[in-house]
Amino acid sequence: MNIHDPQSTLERVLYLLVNYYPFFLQGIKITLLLAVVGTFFGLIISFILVGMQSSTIHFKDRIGVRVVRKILRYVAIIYIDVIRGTPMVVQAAIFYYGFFSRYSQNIVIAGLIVVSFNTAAYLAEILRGGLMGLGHQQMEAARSLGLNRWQAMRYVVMPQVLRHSLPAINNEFITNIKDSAVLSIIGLGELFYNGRAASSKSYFTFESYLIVAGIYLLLTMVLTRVINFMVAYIDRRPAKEVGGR
Amino acid sequence: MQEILRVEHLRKSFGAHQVLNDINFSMNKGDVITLIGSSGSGKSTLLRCLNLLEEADGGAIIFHDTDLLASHVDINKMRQSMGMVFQSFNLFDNYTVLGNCTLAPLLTKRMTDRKEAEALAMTYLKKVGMDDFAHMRVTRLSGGQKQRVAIARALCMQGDILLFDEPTSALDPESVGEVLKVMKELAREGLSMVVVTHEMSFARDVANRILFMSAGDIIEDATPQELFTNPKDERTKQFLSRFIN
Repeated sequence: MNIHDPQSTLERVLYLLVNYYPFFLQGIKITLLLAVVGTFFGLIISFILVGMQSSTIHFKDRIGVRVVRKILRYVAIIYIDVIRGTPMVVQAAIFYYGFFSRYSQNIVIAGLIVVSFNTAAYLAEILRGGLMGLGHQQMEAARSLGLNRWQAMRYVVMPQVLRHSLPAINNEFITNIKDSAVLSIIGLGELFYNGRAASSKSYFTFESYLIVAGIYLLLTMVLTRVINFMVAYIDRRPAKEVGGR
Repeated sequence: MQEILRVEHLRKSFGAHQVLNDINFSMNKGDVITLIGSSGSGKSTLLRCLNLLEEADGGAIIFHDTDLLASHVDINKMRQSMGMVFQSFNLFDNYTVLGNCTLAPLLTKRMTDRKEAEALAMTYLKKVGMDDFAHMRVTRLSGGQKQRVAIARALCMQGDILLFDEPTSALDPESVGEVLKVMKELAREGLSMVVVTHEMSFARDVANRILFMSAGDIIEDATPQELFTNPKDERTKQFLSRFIN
């Protein structure tokens, strides 16, 4: 086997791995950053969206509070519809070229914002599904003990919703690893973008993308199992007791 | 006798369907009142209105000289004094038995010391025969055990009234006995209770007053002896004959 003058596919793959590994490593780094940080912030935003969408109006609420709650609900619904109804590649292009690039050239930050706000819409729907699955009884039981709405959500409802939604959140994270590839549209050097760069420099197009595909597969397979293990571990433990000194 | 609860002209409808017409009754400290009647007669709705889990359309609920339906009343504070036990237990699955019992007293600042809250919870868990299960996840308990924990959880708030919404309806016959035994014990100790139930033996043996409801009205308000031996209304007679036969 001669990897300095590669002829076969295997030789070319090895040639690329030896000579262009910094491209792939950098790509993996950015892709993981987008998926991990994007999913994390997406989850935080999704909590806010769920709060906006599912805040119930109690008959003792003042009229101003009722109006604000209704407005927030519709804002969340429209946001989720728009994000889920348009492809992330289009959102990235509009956000970056139409807005972000006027103020900053930091493409990584732009990519993180796009992934976070995109995945938030999907995660909000996942959490909302979890909330509906849990039913209103847990909220009622918590409120019947004198907890306020926030305490009931924070300590009773959301921990259970989160726990039930973990497999779907994991799925969203894996999707983010793969779908972040579309951010190459704004020139973000994630795995796909860097694979294409390796391909342009080496002229081994097929093999470059083969390596990219292999890395995506490896990342998703390994991370799926790691997270599944973590989910099973979390599922076995009761929540830490809260409150008091 | 000290009056702790008075309901005046309480009305409630769901859309066009009138569920409670004009409910009036009062309750003294230490009273055990059972609400009986056919399904759909408004028993559970009345109970839920007392705890403001349902919004009444009109009337007044005077609890410790305060109208709970007045806009300035802090419902969270009020609910801390009026516990509720649900048909489907509604324990918080993400906590242990002890965690379920200490969560509300600590979060609502009714108690501030965790050790004290745990000691109190253990006292009530012992009362309901569940102290040996204190550190177990509630998901592992049987129906009867769950309901006994739910009673202990409500008792931990040390409120003035405990509302029971068909506490034995979701239980197997053996567990029904366990739960009724606990409730009888609480009644004997002088706890004020309002119980929606189909357990006629409980209503007869434990309650000091029975309210028979039909189509959103209280048809009879009598002692168990009066109601079972000499029911005045035809609807009460028909209802009781179905149970006796």
